Amino acid sequence: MRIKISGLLVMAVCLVALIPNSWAGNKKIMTTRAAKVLAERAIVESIYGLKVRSTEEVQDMIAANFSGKTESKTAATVKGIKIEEVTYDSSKDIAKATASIVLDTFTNIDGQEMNLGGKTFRRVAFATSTPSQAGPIQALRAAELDAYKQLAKRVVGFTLESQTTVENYILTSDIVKSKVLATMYMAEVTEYGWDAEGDAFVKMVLNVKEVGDIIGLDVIDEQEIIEVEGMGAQTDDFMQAQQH
Amino acid sequence: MNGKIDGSSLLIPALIAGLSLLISVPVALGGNKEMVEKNVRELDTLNREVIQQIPELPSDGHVRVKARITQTGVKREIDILHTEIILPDSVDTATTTSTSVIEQTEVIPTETTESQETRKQEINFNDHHQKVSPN
Repeated sequence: MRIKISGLLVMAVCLVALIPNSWAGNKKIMTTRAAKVLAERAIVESIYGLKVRSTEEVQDMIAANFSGKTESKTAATVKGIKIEEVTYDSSKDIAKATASIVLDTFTNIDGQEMNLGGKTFRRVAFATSTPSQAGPIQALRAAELDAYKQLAKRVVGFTLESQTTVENYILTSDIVKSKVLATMYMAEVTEYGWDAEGDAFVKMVLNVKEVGDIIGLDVIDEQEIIEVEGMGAQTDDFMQAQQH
Repeated sequence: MNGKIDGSSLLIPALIAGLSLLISVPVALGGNKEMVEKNVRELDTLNREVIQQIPELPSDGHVRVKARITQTGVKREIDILHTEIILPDSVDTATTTSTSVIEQTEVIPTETTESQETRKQEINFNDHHQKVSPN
């Protein structure tokens, strides 16, 4: 009798353990699909390019009076993007997709014909369907946009407007605004990740000489390669500090 | 094993919970506050750099400035597009329509100003078509 009961218990446990698999649903499919789409967007941003608009404003040099906004936009029809690899972490519901494309010629966001000579572009993206897991992924995208903004500032420059008070030869910055609006293309991500505190970083490189050769223009810059590092946070402790 | 729960049996789970908390603390320490503060410091430094390029900066007064910042290699270039200096006495008499504003608007070459205007017109963030290239 005891053996029968324990046998039934084992069967019940096995059944319970199997239920989640049979109820897997569409979460994995949705997450991996989202990662693929985001990897494709990253490829479009790399080859076709994107518009970057960023504004920053601070009053009285107090961090609490700071406001900054960076926006990006891109839209293009690209054929031939391959999804090389998709991995899915079922415990966190996070998917990672790697997309690549090989191109000979392509017209970028500025309408310039680029002679790419069979160059391979490869980008990675992450996605999740679970909001509680989105923090690190959002931080990574924020870091990516920050890197694009920094590249735009380096390549086309930016405008600075300020109202400053001078008292007894001492400068006190009252209002400082900076604005950048530019199109970026051919930027490559060389490194990305998260530090021990959970903040994301994205290292981005723009080979100025290579871009010049590809679009057939002499781009004058002392530095052949412009390298920037974008940062992104997953917690808004700045707003929390403002509220206290 | 008599099924009783004593103090020592709770020690291990308590230790595990404590260690888990310690591990999760660094994640909670991250955030954008430090990034914002760094950004504010950079803007302040840059503004001071721009202001110091203005000739005949008064010892007291308000300065309004608009500048274009570009970078070639490691060298930063500042083109002052517009400067307006309001002296303290003019602020006092502002209500009487008397102002002593010194304006310097001819600092930047004309062609650069034109390119600025062109850039503003061409990059319309809401349009699908634009034509702007780096530099």
